[in-house]
Amino acid sequence: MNLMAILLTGLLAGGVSCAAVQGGLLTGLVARQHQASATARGTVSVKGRSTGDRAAGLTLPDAPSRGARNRLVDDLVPVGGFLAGKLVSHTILGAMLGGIGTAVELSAHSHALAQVAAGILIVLFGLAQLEVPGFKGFVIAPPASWLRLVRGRARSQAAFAPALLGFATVLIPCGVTLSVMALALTSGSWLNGAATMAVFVIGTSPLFTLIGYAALKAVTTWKDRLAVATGIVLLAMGLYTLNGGLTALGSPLAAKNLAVTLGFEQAPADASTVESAPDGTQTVVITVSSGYYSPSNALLKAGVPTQLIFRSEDARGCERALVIPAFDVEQILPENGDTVIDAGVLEPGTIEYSCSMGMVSGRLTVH
Amino acid sequence: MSHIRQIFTVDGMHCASCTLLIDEALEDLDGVHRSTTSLRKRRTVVEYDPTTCSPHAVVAAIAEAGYTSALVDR
Repeated sequence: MNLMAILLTGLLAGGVSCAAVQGGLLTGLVARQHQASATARGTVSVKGRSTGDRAAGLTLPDAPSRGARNRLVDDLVPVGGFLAGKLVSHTILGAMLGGIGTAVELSAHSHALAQVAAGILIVLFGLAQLEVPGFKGFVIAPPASWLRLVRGRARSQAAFAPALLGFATVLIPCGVTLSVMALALTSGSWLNGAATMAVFVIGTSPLFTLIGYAALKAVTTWKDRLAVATGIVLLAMGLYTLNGGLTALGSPLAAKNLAVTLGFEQAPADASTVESAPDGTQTVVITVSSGYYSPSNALLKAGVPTQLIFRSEDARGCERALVIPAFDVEQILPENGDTVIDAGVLEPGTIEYSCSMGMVSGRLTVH
Repeated sequence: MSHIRQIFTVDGMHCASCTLLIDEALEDLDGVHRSTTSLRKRRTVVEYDPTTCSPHAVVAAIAEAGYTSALVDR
């Protein structure tokens, strides 16, 4: 999954679902700190306040003499600290997940299977979020000791408590965050894993800041509708991930193969880049560039020795990680230049290939 | 001060943060000694002093946090 999609996921789904609950924890922490300092001055009792104080946002009227600008800074500093703490812990976790995924990865095939599993997991989270009967109970609850640890941070009086609370939220991931963790696990490297989680947290920041600052009340009012929106985003993300895994496996259930599986017309095969030599061999040139293989469906003859030339032209994306399950080929292509693959004598049929994540794909039609 | 222990069902929770938010909201109420919310069981167990708190106040505090709840009759 590309980072822009992760950013949008954070922006749309993570920002809403995490903000609604974690924003509430942060608001409670700041409110408690404000009131504790007021108690120290002998003005207000800590316990017994209305919960409405929490729901109204961070600002508490404990310093009426200060200007609105100072109050804004007072409110944004804890939000900034919280997000910074959260960014650090999630980035570290993302790097670890990416590293683990790479270390245990045996082959492109197992990677694709892991991606299928991640896709199914995300779909299940989406169905649980939408409270679809039968899936409502699909929740992953962290151990009680982790919850106690996070609660301890939420009750701290330390100046940097918001940052510690943000850091600790890595222990209590919501469904969206767990889904992005699954993506980090299959991202292919520790760096990609770190980037995946970091970009997700950054994506959640704008809405979190807005909600944490002013509008928790509105969020609780809109909670049900937001939960539905989050569920739909999760379903879409899960199906996209699942389809990528199925494509990398060359499965007939992958979206691009479904039309063929169901007996519909497929895109016409293109023989324009195929050259036949006098000795009877054929060579096809497939251009590899950012986000595509061209032609996407090359037409080849059966029964003759065949060479595939993957011609990289400024290829910078995941299309460089070429996987052809039928030939057991897993190869990283250069950014520029030719990669020659001897395909032997082909049998009639179709041969699927894709990048290792299944996001970019192509087909050889042999007749 | 004597505490009673009551169980409330809670609807609308999606993640562990929700359980923390509810526990925080309840333990900030006057008279509440302890609140333990379970995501899996979709309920919260509240220990409180009935002279200063009531089931109605518990349900109202949970509603304020954005969730619906009801006292389980025993």
